[in-house]
Amino acid sequence: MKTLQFMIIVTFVALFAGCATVAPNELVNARSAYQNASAGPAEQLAPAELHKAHEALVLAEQSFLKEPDSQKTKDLAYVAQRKSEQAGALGAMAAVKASKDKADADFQKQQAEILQAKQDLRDSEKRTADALAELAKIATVKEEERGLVVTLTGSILFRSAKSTLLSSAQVKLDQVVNALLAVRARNLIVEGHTDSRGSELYNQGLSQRRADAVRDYLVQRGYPADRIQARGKGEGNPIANNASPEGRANNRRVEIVIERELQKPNP
Amino acid sequence: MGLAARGEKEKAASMLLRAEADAELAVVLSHGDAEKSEAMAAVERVRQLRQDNQ
Repeated sequence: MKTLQFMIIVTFVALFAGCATVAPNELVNARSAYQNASAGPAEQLAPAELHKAHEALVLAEQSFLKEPDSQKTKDLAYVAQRKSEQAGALGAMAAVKASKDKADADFQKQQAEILQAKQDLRDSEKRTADALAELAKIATVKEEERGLVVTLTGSILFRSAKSTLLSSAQVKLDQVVNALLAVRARNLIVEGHTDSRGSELYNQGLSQRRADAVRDYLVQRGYPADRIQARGKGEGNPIANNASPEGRANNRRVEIVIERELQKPNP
Repeated sequence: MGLAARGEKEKAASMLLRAEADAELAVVLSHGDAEKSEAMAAVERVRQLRQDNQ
């Protein structure tokens, strides 16, 4: 806006002073300095200084109209040039300061975010530790290469040859799911296992149905469905000798594998 | 006051006006505290001289 006013003034000066009158160098320099200043950040960041420069330039232009070649005109123009340079410098400094302030604010924000992330991590680790302690009270918990394995005995979950959860099993699974929800971001694999009685095909189907039943229950209780897979493992992965009733009882089980790393949801 | 004396005074006033503008710009451009104090002192000296010269 000020630049426009300035251009209008210059035009009038040129018209009324007559094109034959050449502006002194000081005035030419002052006009140029003012244009430079008003094209930079001074208009936004040092408006008061730019206004003073504008007023000084107007005085110089008015003096030029009356006394084109006088020392006074040259002096006023010189002052206007210096004031324009001041405004330009102040604008540039203010821009640098604004940039620095923004960088400082960004730095502070990032520091705060890092602190928050560290706190979140500590909270998460504590929740995980608490959850594991809870799980250890209600099931066998074992660290393996594939992750943390929570083993639930088959006999407390299902009747023989059935894949419908017992009501007592639901109480147990409620405790399990509450602990698991504390580590919600982990992927789970629910694996069903049987003993070696019955055909392999039958056991495969039964173990899959049991794994599905546990998975469905966990989902029903709030665990994200896209983070749980159910796998029937049949009789192929015994943990005890199938020759004895105790061994077979141990082999009839459901394992919940809590994957170690934070990973994307299961496909 | 004679013409010669008046001419000298106007010349001095012109120089001081410009010197003040220079000194004010120097204040803005100075960065360190000592540098700034020196430039501000220069502004004050020039203003005083201008006042005395009027």
